[in-house]
Amino acid sequence: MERLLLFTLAGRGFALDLQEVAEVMEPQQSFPTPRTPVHFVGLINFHGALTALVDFGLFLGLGARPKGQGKVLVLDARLASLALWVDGVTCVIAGEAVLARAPGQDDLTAELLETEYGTVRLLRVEALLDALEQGL
Amino acid sequence: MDMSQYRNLFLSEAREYLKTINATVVALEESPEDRPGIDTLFRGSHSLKGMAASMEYADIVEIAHAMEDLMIRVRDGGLPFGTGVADLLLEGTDLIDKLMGEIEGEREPRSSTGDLPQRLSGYTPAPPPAAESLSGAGAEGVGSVSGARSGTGAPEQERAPAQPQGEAERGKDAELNTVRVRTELLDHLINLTGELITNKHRLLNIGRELGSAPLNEAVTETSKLLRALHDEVMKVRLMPFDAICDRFQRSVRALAKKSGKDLHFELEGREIGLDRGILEGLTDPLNHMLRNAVGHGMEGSAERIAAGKPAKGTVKLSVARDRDRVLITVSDDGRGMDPRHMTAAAIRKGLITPEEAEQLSPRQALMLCCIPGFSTAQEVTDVSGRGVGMDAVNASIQKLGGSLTIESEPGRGTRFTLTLPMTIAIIHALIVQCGTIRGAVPVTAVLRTVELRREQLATVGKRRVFYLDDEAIPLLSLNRVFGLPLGRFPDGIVPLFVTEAKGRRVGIIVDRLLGQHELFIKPLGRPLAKLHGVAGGAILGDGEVVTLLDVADLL
Repeated sequence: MERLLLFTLAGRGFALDLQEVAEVMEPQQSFPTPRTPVHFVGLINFHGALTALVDFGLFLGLGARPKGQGKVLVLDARLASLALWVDGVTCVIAGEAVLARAPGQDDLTAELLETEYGTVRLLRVEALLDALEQGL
Repeated sequence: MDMSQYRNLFLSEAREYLKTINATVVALEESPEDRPGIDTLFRGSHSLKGMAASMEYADIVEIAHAMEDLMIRVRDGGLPFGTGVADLLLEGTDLIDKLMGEIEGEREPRSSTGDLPQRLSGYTPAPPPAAESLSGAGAEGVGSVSGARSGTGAPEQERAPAQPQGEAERGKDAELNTVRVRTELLDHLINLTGELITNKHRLLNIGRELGSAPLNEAVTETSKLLRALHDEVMKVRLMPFDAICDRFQRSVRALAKKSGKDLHFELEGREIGLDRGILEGLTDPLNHMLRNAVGHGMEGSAERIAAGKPAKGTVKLSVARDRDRVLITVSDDGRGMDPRHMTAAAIRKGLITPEEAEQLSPRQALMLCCIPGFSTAQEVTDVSGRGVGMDAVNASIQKLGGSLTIESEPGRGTRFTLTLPMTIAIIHALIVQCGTIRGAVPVTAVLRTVELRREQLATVGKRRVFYLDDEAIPLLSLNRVFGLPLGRFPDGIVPLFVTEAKGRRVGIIVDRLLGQHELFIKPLGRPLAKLHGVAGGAILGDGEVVTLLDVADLL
């Protein structure tokens, strides 16, 4: 059964398939990495695994947030060693709760979903990883 | 019935037989009358056939059967073991290996046995040229390579599969004392050991903060146990160098044949164990160096005789342990490399300036071959000479935390020496600070650390240098490489470490040298695994994360 994690960034709605998310955390200390674009905040120690923390707002050109605020979405380790720093998590909804679906308008967006919380962009994780890698 | 567990066992055992057959074929070209070697080939083919038959792999059975028949003719029918027989047997093992790959990948069989079984069964040697000797394998053509035999090859008394009673019992004893372990389990063991080491450093930090003598004592005792555990886990992970030797023998043999060079290939230290992570990373660099030795280093027989050397050249690959390091050398007694030719070529290609060339020692001049784009090959062939080789070799070795040195004497030969750590998972590294970034540099990549006074800095041309052993060492700022503001050094002391990059010694200035640490290196995964100049990361005892710097890649 499809379940979606809804989150926000600069007042906009986004979603990830819940299966692609390992954990939602409070922001924690990160350690900078050399020669990475500014949206790579650094590395975090996620239960012993080194995980790249990306400021998703900076990556999308939507601006950064004050230090210590927001939430960190750690992706499933089978997909990537990546955590996304976002403004906040809205809720988890079942796929059936989506009111309408439309094709995404860009590579990163798999679908545009109409929900009771407004329109959200369902992210395509593989495309996000490709884009992050190309920027390195 | 689920045959997968039997299939994996078959593949594992069959690969060991293929390896033995390949090594023995090459050795027999040197000593074609070697009866134990001939018996080993017969026995190997016979065993492969039996194993494949029990799994109902008909194609493998057909090839192994034809190989066995050919070896019966060699053993009992007086068929001389020469290049023709060797080529057919190697073609057979290649095809079986390919078929096994399809079985392993659970793919539909694509490879066909073609006419190989018929060619094996119907093989007759070509009549030797009238002028040549009729004796031995040498009668079958030029461009042969012979391998030094290192197997035990116990004399056989009777046709396989019957074995002497004592040998069979010894075999059973050996089976009871050994177990096959999946490599993933070995990786997991080293990971757990690494995590324990990270936690040991954490406890050491806490012990220091608390000033608790009993805690410190307990942690010290734990450290000793951990060291013992680490050593034992490392031993379990070690694989003999022999595991990758087969392909080198094949590769040298094929190249010698193709380039018409008559040479002897020696292998030493096949039994030396290396961490399997290192072993995996060594195959391509070693293969390239051997190709260079045959393609560039070795002269043709006529040239060797004219130079007063034996007509047959020698290429040698040897492995040795030196405390906690492994030394691998690839040497040849060929034409050697002339440092003056190397610098001239580098100037001509615009890789260095004449002023820079004057500063180079002969050793540094030889290392110029590790600069991308450098090649002194007279012509580009598919053997070697594309000028993209040694820089990649050097980069691969540095990625493994090792280093490369070159010694050569014109007319006498060349020796490439790789110095490698015993493991790549748990290493000792120098921790450095640049701005907000802490990085780790494997100690194997650090030639020395220096704290310079400002007045020791000099300028040669446009470059900042300092003098070490009368050699001008160019200086680079790691801050600049990282795109960070340059360090100010208010106390007038400039910290740096000396490393080797692109074949030359270079001083890397950092903000601070933070000392040496034992680190458990973890991979970065996607997306940061694509980041150039960073080879992984580690967690220090205080919980801080450092990135492992691949200095060669960074520069």
